[in-house]
Amino acid sequence: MHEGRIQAAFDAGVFVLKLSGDVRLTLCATLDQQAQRVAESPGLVAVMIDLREATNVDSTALGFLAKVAMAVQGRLEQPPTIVAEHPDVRRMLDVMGFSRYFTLLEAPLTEPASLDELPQVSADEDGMQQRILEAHRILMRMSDHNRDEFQPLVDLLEEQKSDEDCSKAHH
Amino acid sequence: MANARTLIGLLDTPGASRDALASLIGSGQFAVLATTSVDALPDDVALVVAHVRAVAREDWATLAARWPTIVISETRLDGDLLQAVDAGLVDYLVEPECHGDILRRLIARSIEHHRLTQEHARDRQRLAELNESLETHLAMLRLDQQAGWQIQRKLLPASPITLHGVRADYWLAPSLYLSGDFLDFQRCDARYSFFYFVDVSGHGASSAFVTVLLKYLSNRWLTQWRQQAAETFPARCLTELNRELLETGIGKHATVFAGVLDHEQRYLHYSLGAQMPMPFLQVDREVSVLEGEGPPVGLFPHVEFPTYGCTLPERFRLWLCSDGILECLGGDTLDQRLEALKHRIASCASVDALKDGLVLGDELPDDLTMMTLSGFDHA
Repeated sequence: MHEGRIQAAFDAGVFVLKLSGDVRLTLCATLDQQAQRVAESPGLVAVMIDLREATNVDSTALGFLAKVAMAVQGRLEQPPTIVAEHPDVRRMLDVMGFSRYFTLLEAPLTEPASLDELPQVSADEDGMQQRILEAHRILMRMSDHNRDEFQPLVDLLEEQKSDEDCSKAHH
Repeated sequence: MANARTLIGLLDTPGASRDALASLIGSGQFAVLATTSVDALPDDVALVVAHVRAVAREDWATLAARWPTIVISETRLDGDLLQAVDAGLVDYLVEPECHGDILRRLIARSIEHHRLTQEHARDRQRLAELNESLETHLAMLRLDQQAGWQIQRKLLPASPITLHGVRADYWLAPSLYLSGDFLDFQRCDARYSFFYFVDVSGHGASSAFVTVLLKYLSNRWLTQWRQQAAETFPARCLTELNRELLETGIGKHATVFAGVLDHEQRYLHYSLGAQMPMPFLQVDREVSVLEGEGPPVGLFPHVEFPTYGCTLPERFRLWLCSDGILECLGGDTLDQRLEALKHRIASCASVDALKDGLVLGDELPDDLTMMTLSGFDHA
């Protein structure tokens, strides 16, 4: 099981949060305000959660995602989007009833190159494709040295994770 | 590094040779105090340069123990030189008068070494003290958590406990000291009993606090028990718990399975929130999965909790496990692990039997709880 990892970026009004690996924030109990902070970002138009590389997302991390969704309710035209491929992760999203608060995408993101060949879709779906594409571009640009306004959030989440790792190592 | 005021003690018999040595050493950054006796050296001497002829053999060890000491001699064949080195002298130099520069460098280097050695010793001492204090604090915290666990255990029902011919057995293992898993089985009246099985998100103390709140709430619900509402009672409990958790704002949510057993009609009324894995119903060797789905409790406001029901045979066994069990089963995917669990349960007749077949390390990654309700034929 590889180490969980969290990245966040905010670009062109799209907030992207990417969770990879085995994400556990078990001992973290203070994420509500963080979710609120995300929702109050000036110029926020879309939220995209990328779980394509996540193998496991624990209940605290899922709770955080839910809180983000609750916090942006009524602020955005579209509900936040979650992209997930791993069947276990999709199953957890189902069990948690996330479909009510998120647009759940099961299909892997299409690479920009092959997007041109897609058949015409309705405006709504087209908008969705555009959003995903935009998020995808942001993710592509997202690097380890990505220093944006959400770095503190990522630091906090990562810190919670390492606290957890420490607590595991020391008892 | 030695500074301009560093005082060097010079032990040698008085005379021209000693004077020459003193000026050799003192020509740089050192001040020199020349004497014939160890006792005449003041405490602030940083290092001693001693000539073999000025110190008795038996005094070398004492001298070396007190100061970093460089021994000098006119000839390498001096037997006393070996004695001195054996006694722990830091360095020696033969014909010092021809090697003034070397002598001064030796002195500077020895002082620096000595300083580092002392620093190391101080650091080790500090670390040892720090470590001891950490150990003490850790032991205190552990005791504190263990005391908390004693309290939490008192809030749980006896295991086993039998009500109206239905027996509950359970095994609850916290990942740390306190558990975010919780359960209860209580009598409502002569016909009904109520049970619930909860896994609060996260684990440890913060999740355990929620279980205390839950115990308090469930006792309150039971005081409001109305027989005619048996069917909707579980869903109402979940609705109320959902509201309490959201209003308290503790940022914790939970997966819950709550049920009311009708011992007269042999029927189970239940409601659930994000329960995973779903409860298994074992009748003879047949194991089936209870159906239903509901939102997690304490995460979303204004959600509806469903009401389900199922008829129970005269002999049944209901199995509830927290999701911690999934980490102790073989299989690469969730479905495989759920299948493995179902398969295992089919050949188990008790909580202990299921527990014994699991891969349990010294440390559990998550709280792990399993419970069975069996009946209706228990005395």
